[in-house]
Amino acid sequence: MNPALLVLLAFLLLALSLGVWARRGHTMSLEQWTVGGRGFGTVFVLLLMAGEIYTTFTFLGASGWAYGRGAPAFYILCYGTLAYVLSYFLLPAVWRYGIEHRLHSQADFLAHKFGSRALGVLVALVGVTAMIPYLVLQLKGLGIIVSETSYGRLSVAQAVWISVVALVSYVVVSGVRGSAYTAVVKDIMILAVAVALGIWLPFHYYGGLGPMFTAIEQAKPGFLSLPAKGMSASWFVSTVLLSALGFYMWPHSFASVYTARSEDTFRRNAIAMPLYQLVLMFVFFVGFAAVLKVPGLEGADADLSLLRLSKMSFGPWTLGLIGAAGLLTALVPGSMLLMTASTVLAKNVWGALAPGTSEMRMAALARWLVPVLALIAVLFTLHGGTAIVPLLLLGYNFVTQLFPTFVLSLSTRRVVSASGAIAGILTGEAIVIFLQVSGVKLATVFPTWPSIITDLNIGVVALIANTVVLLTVSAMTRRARV
Amino acid sequence: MNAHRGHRWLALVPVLGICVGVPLVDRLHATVAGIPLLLVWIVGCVLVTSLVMAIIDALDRRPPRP
Repeated sequence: MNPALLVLLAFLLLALSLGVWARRGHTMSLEQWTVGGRGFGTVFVLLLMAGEIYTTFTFLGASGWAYGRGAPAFYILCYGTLAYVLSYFLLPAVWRYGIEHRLHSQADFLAHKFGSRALGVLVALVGVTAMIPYLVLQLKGLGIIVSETSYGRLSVAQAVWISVVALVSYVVVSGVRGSAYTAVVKDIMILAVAVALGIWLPFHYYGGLGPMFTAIEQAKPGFLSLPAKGMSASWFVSTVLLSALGFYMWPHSFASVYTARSEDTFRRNAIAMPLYQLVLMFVFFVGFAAVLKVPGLEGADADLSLLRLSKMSFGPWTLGLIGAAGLLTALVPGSMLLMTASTVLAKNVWGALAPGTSEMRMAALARWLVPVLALIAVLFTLHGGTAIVPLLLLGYNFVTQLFPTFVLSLSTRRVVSASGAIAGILTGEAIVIFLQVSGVKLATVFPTWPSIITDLNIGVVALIANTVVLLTVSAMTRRARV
Repeated sequence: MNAHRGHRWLALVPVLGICVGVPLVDRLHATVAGIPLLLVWIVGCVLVTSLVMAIIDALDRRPPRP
């Protein structure tokens, strides 16, 4: 057997065993399955939340962006940082409210805050709509990583099927405990692989970081600065801000708040996480090293730069380890996405439509939904073609539309009503979908406006409209009640 | 929010470093030992964020003044 394939399968088996073993000594009630009995310490919570930073999108995408676009890639390092600043102030309140009311999900939180089951259903559906494509993205990445690093011994379809069977098994058995245990291996691997590659490749091929950047600047002048138009400074800042607001609006990130034992966890994480995500810097270095060494990867193929350069530079054992790290970056977020999507469908959609369903029934239903959702994601991954691409881009903008309602719900004064929240979210989502489908850009609608405005991330428009409708309808419904 | 929370405004430092600092630093097109100043600046902002959050956390934990 090919050594690379051997390493890949060994790590998949390790993840599966750890994931299943994670259950020992616990009966899997909904409380244990979705939020680990609210007993996780700082390290586990940090690892679960880091699941959001180190996904296949960052592994392949961050290096791909550095390779294909240059300086605009740095936005990936910035938005997380600002999200952690926000988290210090917001997450302790989310956690406390969750303890008081025994909440399991983001939809629980908003439904409770506004006393509206309809809002809970809407938030759950928005979340699932964003999570399924995100899961598909993970599986697509996984397929590429495994088939590339196994030198094609495993096809994309085989890789996806094998991994999904492992994934579904440990999610059904252990829930969030499985995610947390596998996250330990994943983070050790990704730290080791990213740092080693990010240091070794620039030194091996260029003699250091300085010489590497100098060579890139000579070959591609301006590549290491933001362009004057398009992905300009105004695009950069607006995208960083939007993504920072959307960061904890991902239902699986939001729900991981409830796994924590104490609210101090979030304050400590706000200090540790910015440092922890500096690993991304090394991933950028890999992408930059590839610019002159594996030129010619255009468009979406830029995401292959890390794998192609690794293939060129290392033997099968090392390549297998790199592939294993990539495989794990798909499994951990994948498991959280599957679990969260199943939980909100069972609890916040089914539970709302059939009130009086016991928590035990909901827990059973959620676990049945895991293989169903996984199957849907696999079909999209293997047969969705390019139809899924617009959906993928939608995901982030979709969840970001929940932010205005969320942040205003934390205020002690009741600024927002349930109908206001629903109207605002629907408006935001409608605009996001319209912009995505029509491909309208500010620059095409207002060609004469300066690029500092037209380069703004178009998601800003949806968020502003959302907030305006939210406040207006809330004011109207409040007055109507008086 | 009580009067003891004034130090929380420090959280604006990383926000300004990124939202105002990045566009300004980008225009310099400078390098530090060959590495783009923009990247050095952003990594600096990340380090400062951690430091600022640690300071805010330490001050938040002070016992309330009598």
